[in-house]
Amino acid sequence: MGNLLLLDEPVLRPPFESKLPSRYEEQGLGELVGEHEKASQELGDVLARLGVQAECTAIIMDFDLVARLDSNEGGRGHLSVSPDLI
Amino acid sequence: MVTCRLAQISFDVFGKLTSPLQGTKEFMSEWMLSNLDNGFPYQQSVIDDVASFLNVAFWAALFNTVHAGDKTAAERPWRRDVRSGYKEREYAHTKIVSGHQVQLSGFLRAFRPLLGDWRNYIQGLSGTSPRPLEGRLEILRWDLEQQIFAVQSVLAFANILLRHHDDLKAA
Repeated sequence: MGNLLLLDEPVLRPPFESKLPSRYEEQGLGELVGEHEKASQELGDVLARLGVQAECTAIIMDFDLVARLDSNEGGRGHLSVSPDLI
Repeated sequence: MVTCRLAQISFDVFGKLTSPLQGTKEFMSEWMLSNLDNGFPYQQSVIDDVASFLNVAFWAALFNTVHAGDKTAAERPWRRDVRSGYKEREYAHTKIVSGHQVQLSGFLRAFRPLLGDWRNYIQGLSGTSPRPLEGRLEILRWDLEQQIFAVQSVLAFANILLRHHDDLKAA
């Protein structure tokens, strides 16, 4: 049993290197860009320890749970998570 | 589940944030719903997505069908509460993570420590009041701060997950 960690924002996708546009640094926000890179690197390290492969854009440890979320008791189609997205 | 889609953010010509509030009510952050209830302006941001993630996690733990036959009587009202309103939802979450005097199903029992740690993290945060942003630089800075916060929040969750990983695998 487990949970799903779905990272669907490009800047968060593995390998979690900073993909921030250069406009931030050009505007003098280099310090914040560095902070983003540091956090991204740390996240990559932790996810690697969790066994996440660099090619993945999602982590799933309970496929069954996610597959049933839309059809289970009380579920009203809130979650449009389908297995083929994972 | 955590989704870290950055909030869709737009600004008017005066640098005022104009994005409409959006989301599924059952999963919306307490900050957003309480402000809506009181008629106060509110700026949806990544912090609300992070809070929504926790609400989805509680929902998934309460409504999972993996061990459907294992549900306890105590869980039935919580499943009703999380669909009722944010106050009832918060009450149910509190009961779940305290969980000392009630019998929990195996699934919820296994997840309770993780949910408790994650909820503690969320409760240390606060929602965002709208504020006008002046000029391109301030908008860029705000946007970048949001992105940093998103990564840091996923990192916080990943660390919590790592902390409980062995126990969850064994459960």
